[in-house]
Amino acid sequence: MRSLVWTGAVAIIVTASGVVAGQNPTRPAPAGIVTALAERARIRLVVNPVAVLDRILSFDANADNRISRDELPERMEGLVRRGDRNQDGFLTANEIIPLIDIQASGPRQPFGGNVRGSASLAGIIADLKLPPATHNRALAIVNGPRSDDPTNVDFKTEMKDLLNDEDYENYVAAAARLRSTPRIISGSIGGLVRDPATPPR
Amino acid sequence: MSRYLSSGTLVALALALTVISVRARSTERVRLNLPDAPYRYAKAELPAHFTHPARNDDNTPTHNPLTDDGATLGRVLFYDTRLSANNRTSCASCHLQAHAFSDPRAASKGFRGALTDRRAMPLVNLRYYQRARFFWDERAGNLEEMVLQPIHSRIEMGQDSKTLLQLLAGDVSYPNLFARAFGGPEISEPRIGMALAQFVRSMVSYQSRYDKARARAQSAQDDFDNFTRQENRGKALFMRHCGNCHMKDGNEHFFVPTPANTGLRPDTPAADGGVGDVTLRAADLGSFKSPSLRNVEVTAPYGHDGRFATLEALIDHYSENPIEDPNLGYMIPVGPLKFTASEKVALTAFLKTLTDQTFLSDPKFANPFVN
Repeated sequence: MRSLVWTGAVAIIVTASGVVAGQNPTRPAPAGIVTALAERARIRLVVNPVAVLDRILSFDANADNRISRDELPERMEGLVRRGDRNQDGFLTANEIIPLIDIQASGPRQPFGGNVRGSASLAGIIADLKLPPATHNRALAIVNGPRSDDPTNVDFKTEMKDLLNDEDYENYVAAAARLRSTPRIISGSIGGLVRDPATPPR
Repeated sequence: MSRYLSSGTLVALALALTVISVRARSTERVRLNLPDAPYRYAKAELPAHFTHPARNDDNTPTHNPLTDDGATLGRVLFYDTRLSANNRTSCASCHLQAHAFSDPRAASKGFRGALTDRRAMPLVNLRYYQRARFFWDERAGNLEEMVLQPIHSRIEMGQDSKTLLQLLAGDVSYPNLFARAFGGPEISEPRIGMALAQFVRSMVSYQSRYDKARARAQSAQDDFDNFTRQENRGKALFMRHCGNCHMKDGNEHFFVPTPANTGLRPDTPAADGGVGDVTLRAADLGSFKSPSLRNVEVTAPYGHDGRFATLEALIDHYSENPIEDPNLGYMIPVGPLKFTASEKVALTAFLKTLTDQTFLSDPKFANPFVN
């Protein structure tokens, strides 16, 4: 099994390298790239690091298959300091490859999304900052029995009667976001996962 | 004796004037307006919501604690144009106090007139960026390292170390400033970095309308008593849709805790790769550090390349654009959020409550040079 995955990884690297070289007919794929990448990657799929190498090589303005300090933006010149093993002032592909961080290219803990505030209609009503009496009536509506009318999603009919035009528009938009935005619960991505501390509505 | 000075006298006079001129340059003292007792930089009375019981956000290193004299020296250096090769460009040339020490231009102009490829970041509240890595791509591992790079940048200030040390040593003000800051008059590049870092760490904004109301509230989620309904609505919207990144884990410095990819990278080889250009990690391509949102009202334009001219344009990016990038792998897309016009106005109103006029006009951060 391990050899199958290993073979597949090498195949992907070869294919990706061929695509990269094909897109740059004046610049053949650097010697040793496939072997070097495959050696570093072991059983991991390594398509992304090829893109990193290609990006660095894209700075080769004079197409001499090596990168000088002057060809890089000033903020990237540190790469030459880090990678220039033979101290000739240039980076070749073989010197760039060891700098590429392959092992950390996998997925990380999810970050971002929409989790703050109660993920419920009551929560988005609270966000509207309605006058107290209107707020209480709106809460009573969303906590009341659901309508049998399938088009009256999120109590839109009742809210339209209660709220002014601006607040109603904001309520509808917020309710739509509530239904469509992915959420994170304890580091994993969920769909519309309800806040367990709040009733379903 | 002739009425006219003899040629020998003229020569002697010229020589004397030359010597006087040279001696004047070597004992130059630029005119500084510094208070007799240094301003209070180190012991600001910060509000309770600046500290978190389970987390230390302060990145001040033990080897370079913030002191009043250290920050004073840093302030002088920050505004000293002799830190540039043309003697006309200082840190403050691109980091303007009125703009929370950012540059109101999308690209800054260096000492030779060349433009930078990224705009100058705001320097507000950097002391509380827990990761303690700096620049848009976080290539500087600490503030002491960060502050020295622009001085030697061939685009920004272009100064070399030897010339810099000679120039500063030639000013009789500096040995005393260095002695007060570090216990001895020696002028060295590490000390220059330390002093500048202390001054930058002293730039703490904590007296915005948000902060004043927050100090009276039980939590950030409460309605603030000095906010309008619109501002409280904007705060609620911000916390619901932006807070997971910009107020993560209760951080009220409004930093995003790690660099993030928000779809700002065009799909071209020449596109700025951000953090990925430093780490050479594929997943980091297109990620950039975010500055604090404190004083965001005055730090336009926004984005690492200043592509968003206004707050409204910035909000529209999240409201209207699908956030797409091959490296969004671990980032949950936050757009398009489809805010209504009313919601966008509320968000903008809230963001403006983070403006701290006291910080933006405080004389202890202003130019100390008289001319």
